[in-house]
Amino acid sequence: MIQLYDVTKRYPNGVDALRDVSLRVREGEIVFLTGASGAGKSTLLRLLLVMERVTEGQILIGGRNIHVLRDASVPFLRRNIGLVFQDFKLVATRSVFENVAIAMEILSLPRPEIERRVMELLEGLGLGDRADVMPADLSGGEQQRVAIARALANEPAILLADEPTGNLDPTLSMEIMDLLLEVNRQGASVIVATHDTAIIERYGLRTLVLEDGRLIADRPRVERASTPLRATVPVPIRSYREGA
Amino acid sequence: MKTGQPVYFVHQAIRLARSSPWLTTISVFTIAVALSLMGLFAMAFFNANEMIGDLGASLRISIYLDDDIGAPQIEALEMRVRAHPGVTSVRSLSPDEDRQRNRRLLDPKLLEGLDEAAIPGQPVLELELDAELAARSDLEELIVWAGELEGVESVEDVQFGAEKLRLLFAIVEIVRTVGLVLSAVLLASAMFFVFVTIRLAVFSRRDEIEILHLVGATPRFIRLPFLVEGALQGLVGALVAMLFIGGLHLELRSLIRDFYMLNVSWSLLPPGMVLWLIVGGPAVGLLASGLSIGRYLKV
Repeated sequence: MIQLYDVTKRYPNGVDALRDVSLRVREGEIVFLTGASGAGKSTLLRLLLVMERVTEGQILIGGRNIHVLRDASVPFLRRNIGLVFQDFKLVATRSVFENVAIAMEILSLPRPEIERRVMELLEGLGLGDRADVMPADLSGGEQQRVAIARALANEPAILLADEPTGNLDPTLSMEIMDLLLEVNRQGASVIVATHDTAIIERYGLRTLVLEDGRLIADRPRVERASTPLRATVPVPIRSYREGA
Repeated sequence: MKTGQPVYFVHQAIRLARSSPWLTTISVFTIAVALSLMGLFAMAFFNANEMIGDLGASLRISIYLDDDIGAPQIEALEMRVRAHPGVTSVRSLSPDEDRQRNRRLLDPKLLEGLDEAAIPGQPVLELELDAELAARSDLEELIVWAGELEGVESVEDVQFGAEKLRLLFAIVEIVRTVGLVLSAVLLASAMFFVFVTIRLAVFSRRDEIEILHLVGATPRFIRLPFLVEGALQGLVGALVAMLFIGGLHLELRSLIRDFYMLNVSWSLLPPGMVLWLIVGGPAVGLLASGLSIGRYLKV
C-alpha cells in the first residue's frame, strides 16, 4: 500500500529531515513509527500527504508514484487518507456533527446522505448524543474520537495518526489505540507515529524506528498471548465500512 | 441541498459574513456610497447631456434690426448669414409679424386694454441652426460669429441662447472630472474594505482552511465561499445604491416641482447604466476578494 524507496527530504537550510529511507507498509497492516523529537516522523507523514515533496527517492501509494503527482491531483489523493493529530485539529466554530461533515461536504454529497453517514459514524464511536456539542465542551478523549470519526468519514484506505495519544492520559490513550486497531481490522492500513514507548511496548505492533532522519530499525510484530490487543476499555466502533 | 453546488457556497458565504457582521456592514456601506456617488454623477452627466441635446436642437439666433432699415440692407444681411454653413434657414420678420409673435408670448391678461402700438415689434432675422452644432468647438465658433454680427451696421442686437449651453458644457465637464476622480477614490476605498474583510475572514479561519486542505478539499472549494462573500457584499452595496439613487431622484423631482413649479422631466439613469451598477457592485467585491485570497489559499 505504501512504499518508500531511498527517500531523502532536505530543507533549504541544508538539514536532512529524512535520509535514504526505504520501507513498505502492506495493505491492511498497522505499524508504529517512532523516534525522538526531530527524528523525522512528522516529515514522513507530511511527505505521504504531499504537504511537502521529496528531495530524492520515490514514494508509491497504492501503486501510484506521488512524486510526479500534479498539485491539482493532491486533494484527490488526500481523500483516501484519514488523518488523526495530537491536537485533534477540530474546527472550534463548528459542532461535532459539522466537524465530521466537513470531509463529506468536499465530495459534494447530498445533505441527507451526509446526515445519515455522520450520525452512523458518531453513534458507532459512542458520540451520537454529542452531535450538536461544540469541540470545546468535549473531553480530550471525545475530541480525539471526533477526529477519528472525521478521518473515517470517506472510508480511507490509509489512516495516518500523528501522536494521537500525545494529549491523553493512559486510559484514554488505550481507548484511542484500540479504536485505531479496530479501524485496521476493518481493512485500512494504519501508521501511528508516536514516541510513547509504553504504548509501543503494550501493543507489540511492527515498529519502524527513525533516528536523525534515518530508518535504523524495523521491528516485527510481537505475538504475545498475554497482551490483549484490544478491549482494555469498551470500543464502541461499528464497522465504518458497513455504513457506506 | 447538495454540497458543492452554488446554493451551498452562498450558504457558506453568508455564514462567513455573519461571523464578522461589523466588517461586512462597513464593506457593504462603502460599496454603496461609492456606487451611489457614481450613480449620482452618472445621472447628472446623463441629464445634462440630454439638456444639451435639447438646447442644441432648439438653438437659434435672433438678429434685431433698426426700425428704419431698408429692404436692400435686409437682403444683403440675409445673404451674408445664409453663407454660414451652420445656418439651415433664415426667416425675415416684419415689425408687425414680430409684434404678433410677442403678443402670443405675453399673458393675455396683461394685454387687456393695451394699445397695439405698446407691444414691441421691429424687423428681425430668425436663424435656425444645425442641431449638430451642439458640439463645443462649433458652438464657440458660432458665439464669435454672432458677436461679429452685432457690429454690422443697422443691427441693433443679436440674441443667441448659447450662453446657457456654454454653462451646461462647463457643468458637464466639471461633473465628469469630479465624478471620475471621486468615483475612482471611493471605489478603491470600497475594494480596500472588501479586501480587508475577506483577508480577516481568511485569517480567522486559517485552522478550518488547513483542515479542509488536509481532508482533500480542492482550492476551488476552499476559495469559493470567500469569493461569493465578496460578490454578495458588492451586490448588496449596489442594491442599496440603486435604492438611494431612486429615492433621491424622486425626492428631488417632487422638490423642484413643489418649490419652483417646474415640471422637469428628469431621467433616472439609462437602463444600460443601471445594469453597469448592478454588475459593477459584485464585480468590485469579487475582484477585491480574489486579490485578498489570491496568495493566501495555496495548496
